[in-house]
Amino acid sequence: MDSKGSACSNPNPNPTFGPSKLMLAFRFLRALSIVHRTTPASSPTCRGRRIERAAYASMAYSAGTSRAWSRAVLRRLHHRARRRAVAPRRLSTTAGNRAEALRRLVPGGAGMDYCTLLEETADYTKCLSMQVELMQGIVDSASSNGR
Amino acid sequence: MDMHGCNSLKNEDNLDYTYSGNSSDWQQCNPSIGCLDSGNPSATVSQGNQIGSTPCSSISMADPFGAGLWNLSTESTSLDLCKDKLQGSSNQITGNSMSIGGTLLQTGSGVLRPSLSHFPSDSAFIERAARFSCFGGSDLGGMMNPYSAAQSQIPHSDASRESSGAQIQKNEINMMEAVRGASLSTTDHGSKEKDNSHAAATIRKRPSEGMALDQAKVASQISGEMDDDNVELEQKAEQNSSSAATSRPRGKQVKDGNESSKEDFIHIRARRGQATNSHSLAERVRREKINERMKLLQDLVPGCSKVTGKAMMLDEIINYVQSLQQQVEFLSMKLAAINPRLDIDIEAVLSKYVLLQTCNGPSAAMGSSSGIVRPPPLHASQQGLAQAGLSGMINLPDLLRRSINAQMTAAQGYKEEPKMQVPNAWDEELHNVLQMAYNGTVNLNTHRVQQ
Repeated sequence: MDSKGSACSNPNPNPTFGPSKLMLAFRFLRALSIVHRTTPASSPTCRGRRIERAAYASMAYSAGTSRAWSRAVLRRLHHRARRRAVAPRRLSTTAGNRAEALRRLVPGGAGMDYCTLLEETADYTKCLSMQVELMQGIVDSASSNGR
Repeated sequence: MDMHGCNSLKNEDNLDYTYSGNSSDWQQCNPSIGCLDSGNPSATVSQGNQIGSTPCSSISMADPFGAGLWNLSTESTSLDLCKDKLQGSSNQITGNSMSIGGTLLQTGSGVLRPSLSHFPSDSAFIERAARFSCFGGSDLGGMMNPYSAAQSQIPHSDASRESSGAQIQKNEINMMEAVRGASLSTTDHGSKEKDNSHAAATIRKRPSEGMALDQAKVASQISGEMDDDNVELEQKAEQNSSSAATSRPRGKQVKDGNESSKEDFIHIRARRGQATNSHSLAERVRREKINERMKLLQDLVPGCSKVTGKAMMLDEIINYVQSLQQQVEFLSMKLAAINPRLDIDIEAVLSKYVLLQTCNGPSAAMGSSSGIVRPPPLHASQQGLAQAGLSGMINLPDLLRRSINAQMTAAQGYKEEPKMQVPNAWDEELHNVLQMAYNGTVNLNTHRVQQ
């Protein structure tokens, strides 16, 4: 994990953009390959969940440990290896407190003050959208070329 | 002479009380070196009449700042010195005071006007400030101590009133605090010399600030011209203010104390009409931070710019994050079903990315895609990569070396791949990276997903 640790120190030349897309793609695809190799094809849902975890893991690794949400994601991954979902998908109560709903959505949001929560949400949203873009690209290229 | 001076000053005090509305306004606009919008015509005229007779009083009348000084100095022992110097400069100052009086005539009284425009002539003000500084140069130090002593004696009943401006004592206190605050700011900033233009510019930017702040700026401008004799003044002022801040719970005082303490972290200015105790200042900082972050989020979340209001925006953000998470889940399921084909050319992708990042343009990636297909350039690119010291890709050169061996055999098959790429550079590189991921020689030990 040493290289991963060094990679976690954010080699991004453009820090304002968040983690670099290259690193994200690299990590995710690597994880994807591992999942595809290690899980039997008979359990696509299991593989799907692993892929989802791989997505979050690569996202968190790319973002580095400087972000609270990435630390929370990695913590969750390492400690709750048996648990089902990486990102608990609880419905937000828009009628209730919105800050609470945001806290539930953003990993690690429970222990933050509102100001930090907003900051982390911004970064998390950025990384999440990059991840979604990446995965969509993979699916598109795989579906366009893989027929 | 002294008695006369004291008496006249006391008379002036009475006049100052009536005039104080104007003076407070004047003080408020003073830092902006703007026009004085407030003035009591009768007061100024009456004071103007006395200009010739009592230069000290005229100066005190026309210049509430000086008036504050003078009223304090009545209780100080260095009054004589001040008076002498004032008399010496009074001739020149009278002209300015007349102009100030003229502008004072134009305004109403007692109301803080945010529209305070420019002072009649900055140079005139600066001249006067220079005079004040020169007489205050050696004596202000002496005066400051008596001021603090006087300050303790002066009742602070008006602490709560910000713009009533009915009390000359408050003005005095404000002035003192201003001088202190200014000296504090100068010491804090470590530069005793602020140009007049700079101070004027900063003052001009905020014509609507509170009194003490205005005075602080004025004093800073003045202190900017102070010579080294005022080092002791500032030190004493600092001590005074520190003790004052703790012992005197006046609104302005607290504000100045907090201003000085805030100058350690953030330079915050109380805006007009806003409470100025430490809690509100901190809250304002927090609110500004939150607004900043909300703006950031607004830019990130698509479709958020139309929505106004924090609650709606938060709803949008929450929905967006939720939708993104759902997309991740859906796409991961899809990826599980799809087994991507992978014939990878790592170096191609990596060198492409390197070119991308160095050239900062997707056009570079597109342009270089064809050139990267051939293996020979890949060696060079690989070495380039290794030498580039990409910290995040430490393990990649290993991958490259291994993949090159694999690619040598697969070069034929690979050449066809790029041509089938979708025009999107991202997808193209994704495809390449996909191919890379399934390279059996890739070192995948470092990234394991807990399963």
